Amino acid sequence: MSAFVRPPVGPVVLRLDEQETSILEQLASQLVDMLEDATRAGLATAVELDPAMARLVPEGYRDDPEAAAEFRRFTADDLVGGKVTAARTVLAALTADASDAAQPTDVSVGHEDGAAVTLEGETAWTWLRFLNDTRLTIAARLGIEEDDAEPFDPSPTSSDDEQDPQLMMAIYAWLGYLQESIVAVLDEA
Amino acid sequence: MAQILDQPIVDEATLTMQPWVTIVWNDPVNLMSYVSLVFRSYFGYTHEEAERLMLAVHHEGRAVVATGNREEMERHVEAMHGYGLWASLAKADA
Repeated sequence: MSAFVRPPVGPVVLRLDEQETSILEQLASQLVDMLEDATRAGLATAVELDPAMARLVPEGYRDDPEAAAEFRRFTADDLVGGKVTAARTVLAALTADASDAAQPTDVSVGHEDGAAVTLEGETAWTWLRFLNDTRLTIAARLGIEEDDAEPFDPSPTSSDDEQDPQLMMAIYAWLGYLQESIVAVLDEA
Repeated sequence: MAQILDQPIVDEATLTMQPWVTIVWNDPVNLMSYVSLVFRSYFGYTHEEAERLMLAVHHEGRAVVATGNREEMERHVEAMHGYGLWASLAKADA
């Protein structure tokens, strides 16, 4: 399990083990791919086709389709660009740490020591945004539509992809735990 | 809109009417603690006010979190989308 360590002085450090680091890396990289594919396809089209993109790039106006389209035209690129940057920042933090931890002579080590991320100022917000975007995406994929889906009912609403819904639910819950923990840290500050 | 902005003098009625609002909608994904933190951090609300608005979103399905001119509300909605919150703007009387 992840541990938050508060040194006597200084910022809080998020420690991730090898498996956690690997999961977050995969998620961050998949999120970047998804957002960049959507950008290439055109965001106006992507939000029509993909419920996850529709949730990440919501309508600015609910009762005025014309104004909503215009709002999206002016804001969606920057919005998605910001999400890509956050995911890339997280990815860089995870991989940088893993390679620092590896012995220079042992090229096959990978994430043996996991990662340690210092959550300070904007870094904490970058992580919060990334975790939130990832949870929104998984929720859209799993069809989570009701409050208090808390016991994480693993009944799949769609089975049109190879992802194991139970595993996705477990990851979703864990991401929520991570996010909650970072919020708690900022709350104390 | 452009006409109003072009006028050098905005009458007081227009200013006090503040005809646009930023609405945050409930969704099952965003953590309550996170939503409250965003309200405090972005809008500068007190802990109590942020909690009250977050609970309104949660229990009533939506809450008005800001009131002002249209341009300002568009900025707020854009920022809320950046945080992953489900937000939109509308005329205050809508």
